Amino acid sequence: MRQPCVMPPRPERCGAAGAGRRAGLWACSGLLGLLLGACSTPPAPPLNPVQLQLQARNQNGVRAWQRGDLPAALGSYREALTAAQSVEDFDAAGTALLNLAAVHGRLGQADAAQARLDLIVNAPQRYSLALQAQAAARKALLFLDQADPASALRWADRAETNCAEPCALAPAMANLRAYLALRQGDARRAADLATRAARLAAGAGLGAEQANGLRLAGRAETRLGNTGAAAALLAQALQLDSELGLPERIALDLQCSAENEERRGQPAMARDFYERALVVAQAAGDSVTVQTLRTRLATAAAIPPP
Amino acid sequence: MVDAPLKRESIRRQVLALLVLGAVLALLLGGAIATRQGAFTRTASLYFVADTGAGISPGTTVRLSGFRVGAVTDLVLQPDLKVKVTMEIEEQHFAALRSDAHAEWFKEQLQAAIIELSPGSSAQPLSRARPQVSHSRRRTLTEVANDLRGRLAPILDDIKQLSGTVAERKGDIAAVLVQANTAAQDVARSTQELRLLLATANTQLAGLGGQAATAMGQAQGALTRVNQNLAQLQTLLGQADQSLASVNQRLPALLAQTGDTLNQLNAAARDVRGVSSAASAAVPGLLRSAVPLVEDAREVVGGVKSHWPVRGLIAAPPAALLPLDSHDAAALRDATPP
Repeated sequence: MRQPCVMPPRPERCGAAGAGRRAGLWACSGLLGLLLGACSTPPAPPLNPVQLQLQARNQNGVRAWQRGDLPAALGSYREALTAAQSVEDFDAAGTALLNLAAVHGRLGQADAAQARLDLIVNAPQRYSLALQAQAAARKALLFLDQADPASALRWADRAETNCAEPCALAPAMANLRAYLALRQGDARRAADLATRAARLAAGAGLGAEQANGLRLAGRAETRLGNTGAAAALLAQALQLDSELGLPERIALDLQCSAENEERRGQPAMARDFYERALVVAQAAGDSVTVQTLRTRLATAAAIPPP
Repeated sequence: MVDAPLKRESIRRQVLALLVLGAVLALLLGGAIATRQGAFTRTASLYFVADTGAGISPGTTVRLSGFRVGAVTDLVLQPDLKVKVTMEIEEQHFAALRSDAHAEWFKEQLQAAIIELSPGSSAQPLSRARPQVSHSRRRTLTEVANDLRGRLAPILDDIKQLSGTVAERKGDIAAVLVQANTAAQDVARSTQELRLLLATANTQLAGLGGQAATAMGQAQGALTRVNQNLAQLQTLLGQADQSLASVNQRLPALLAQTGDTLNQLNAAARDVRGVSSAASAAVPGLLRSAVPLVEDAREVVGGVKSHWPVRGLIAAPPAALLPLDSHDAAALRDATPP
């Protein structure tokens, strides 16, 4: 806010007084802004030592989970569970149990994961409905891996029943149903369910789950022979996963794209996708996927181009 | 007529003298006999109890070391049908008897029975109040002969029976002798076979000796080669000696350099030790003071982070709950077509 100087009979003096006033006005404005800002956002209430410990353990667990250090994540969440139980904080304890089940599931320890989740679903008087829904959804995913589709669908229903609208679990459960339909050979229904899952995830801002739906829809379209639509869906999934920086899923998108290109009769493009997926998997240190992709590449190389 | 009384008186005196002389001689003889019989010797009594008094009678000689020292004076049958034999011996010999003195009765051939005293060896002298000694009987020749007859008679009977049996089994003995003869012939044949076996063994041993000689020749060849190898080894050792000599020449200089290096290392180690000792004194204090500093810093940072405007510049802490994702299912992470 400049101060106008209409008649400067003595430009030097007028200029000096104007500069001083301008500096004072700037200082007052800044101070007022600081005061308003401070008043507008009151500080959060201080946390007690156990809450601080819980926060620290959960943060350590999330960081370990994100960098793939599952044993460290398991340790952090165990400590978080102990801290929560020490003050009978059932919300925090339920959260720790859910996190422990997720880590156990990723480690392939399905029985341990189910045991953690049973502690929640068997004690509805202690754990909230939201935690019950989360536990049911996790159990559905575990039953999917345990080749028990009936139980998986039953727990998926229970999860969606307990989940309040808008249900954040709905996209994942829709993808679960889509996968089961695809496995049962109903590619059309799988594509519809996966598309619905992607739409729900996009509405909830769940980018990773949206990409999962797009990928599943693409695979279903490939199965249906709609390779063009499949390529478009898989490209969207790849874009989303790339934006989120998820190497494992990027390799999966590329691998599904390669399969779609093979189905479309484009072996050169298929090889290109396979090679890209191989590079990503190698960079991510996923030795199992690397081995699978090498086998696929060898098979693809043996197929003569049309 | 004067001469007749005188002659008569002379004869009377001569007869009287002869009578006196005879009386004196008789007294002397009686005294000698009494002396001889011990009438003037002091004696002591002792006794023993025997199962029987056969062969013992009063007057039986009692000897000590082969000399007569006394005699049996009395035999009395006791109520238990044993016989108490009392002896009297010279007082001077009684003193030599001990409490374990022994009286042995024996009778040799046609001689009279004798009781031989053994003085004993105990330290205690024989009691005068109860002078009892032990007793035994040495067997007479008749008893010995009877004993021999009792022992020899059954033996002679057995010999007689055996000789009869031998006479009856004469045929069997002949058969045994024939078998023994056959066995002896077998033994002779076995001996011959053993000799043959030994001869064969000798021949084979001779063959083995030849083979051993061949083996020894081979071993000698091997030893020759070993000697050659040893010679080569000796050459190598000579070369090694030369190498060691050169090493010995260079080693002192190297050792000197190493010594210098070690000295420098020692100095460095001393410095490090000094630094570490100083640090060891200071570090614990620093560590102790670091803990409250860290806690203070955490509080300050926490306070700063919770207030505007810093709070707005810091990313919000992640949600405590891991987001549920269908990708958590391993099946959905698998690219293999379902």
